[in-house]
Amino acid sequence: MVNPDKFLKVFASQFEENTRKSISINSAFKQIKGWSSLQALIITVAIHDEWGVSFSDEDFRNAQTVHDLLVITQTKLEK
Amino acid sequence: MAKISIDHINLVGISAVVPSKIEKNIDLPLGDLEKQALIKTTGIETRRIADPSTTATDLCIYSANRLLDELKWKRNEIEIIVLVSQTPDYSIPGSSMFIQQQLGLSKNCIAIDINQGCAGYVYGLSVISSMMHSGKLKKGILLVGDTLSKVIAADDVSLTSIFSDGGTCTAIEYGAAGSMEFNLQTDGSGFEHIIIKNGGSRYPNGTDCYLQMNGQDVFNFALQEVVPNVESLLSSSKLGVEKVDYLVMHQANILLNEYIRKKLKIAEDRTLYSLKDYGNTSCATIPVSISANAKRLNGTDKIQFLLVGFGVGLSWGSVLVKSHGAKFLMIDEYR
Repeated sequence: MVNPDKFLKVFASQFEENTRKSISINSAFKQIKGWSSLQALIITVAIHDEWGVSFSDEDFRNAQTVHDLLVITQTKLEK
Repeated sequence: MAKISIDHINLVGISAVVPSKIEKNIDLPLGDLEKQALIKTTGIETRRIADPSTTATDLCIYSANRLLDELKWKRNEIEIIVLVSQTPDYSIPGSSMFIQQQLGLSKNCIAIDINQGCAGYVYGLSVISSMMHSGKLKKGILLVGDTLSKVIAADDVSLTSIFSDGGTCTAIEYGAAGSMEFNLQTDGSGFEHIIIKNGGSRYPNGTDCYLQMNGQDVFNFALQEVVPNVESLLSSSKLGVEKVDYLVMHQANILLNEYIRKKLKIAEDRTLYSLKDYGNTSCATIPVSISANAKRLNGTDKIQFLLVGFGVGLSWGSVLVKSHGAKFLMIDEYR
């Protein structure tokens, strides 16, 4: 199981320090200050480094919240 | 995995040339924060752009003349020329024939065009080395270059900020010391991830003939496939990673390249880059990076390179190149 606290920590640490505090597991990540297609690549590397799975373009299109990304990660790990 | 091992084949020299026109990413029509993030993530500060009358073929010919003169190779001694490019002069004929004539090579010279992108240098090396080995051809040149700036829409900042133009020449000799070991792979299910859809036979009348790239999916592919490919090559060659003198990867972006480097456990000072000044020159990034670091490399008699290419196709591959007494020319500007 992907630990939600750890997932949130890995996700949030890819943003500027003063933005991190405002990010929760239910945050709509595309609304987070600094979100961009480049930020998606940075997140992809961090998640791949930690859990060995990566997000496709479609994953990012379909997901809305940080929790949605966690579920995608979990689903990919189970496969 | 398709592995090829070739003995008695030596990489004896590399030259690279770039257009003199410099474009800076800091001048892109983006906000300051966006530009800073882009430069930090890609590692690219400046790129080189060919003028409208200069093609990849021109850059490769310039580069070849320079290297052949430096090596004092007679033109009539060259028995094979392989060109790797996705921006040839014409749809028909291939540009390698034009280059054969322009360089004044013999009619006994084989000329082959290869349509390959970011893995093209590794694939090109495998083709020329295999043919030289099987035919016992003494001298050959591999020309690798692209002018992707000509096929990118001017308002597509996601691509204009990355791609750059350049042409290179690599001289190969058969019969002496030196060897190459390849691991080549392909996944055509991702053929649409980097594509110019119109203008070919399937969509001949489309108006938009510009390059399109699904950056996220290309990034994912490289993240998942490159490291296992290299690890498999190192394992089958029984060469420990500590024996690699220099790692030279396709210059995609610093985020991805550094991830791969760290996973392979190769030190920063043994990894050659050209991203900052020359961007992503498509198939030419590996020889451009070697030329950009020529000062460090010259004077070392034996060098064990690990070269890694990945991109359009999807196509990827790695090669261990053991070179002896090679000459690496510093990057020149096309005049």
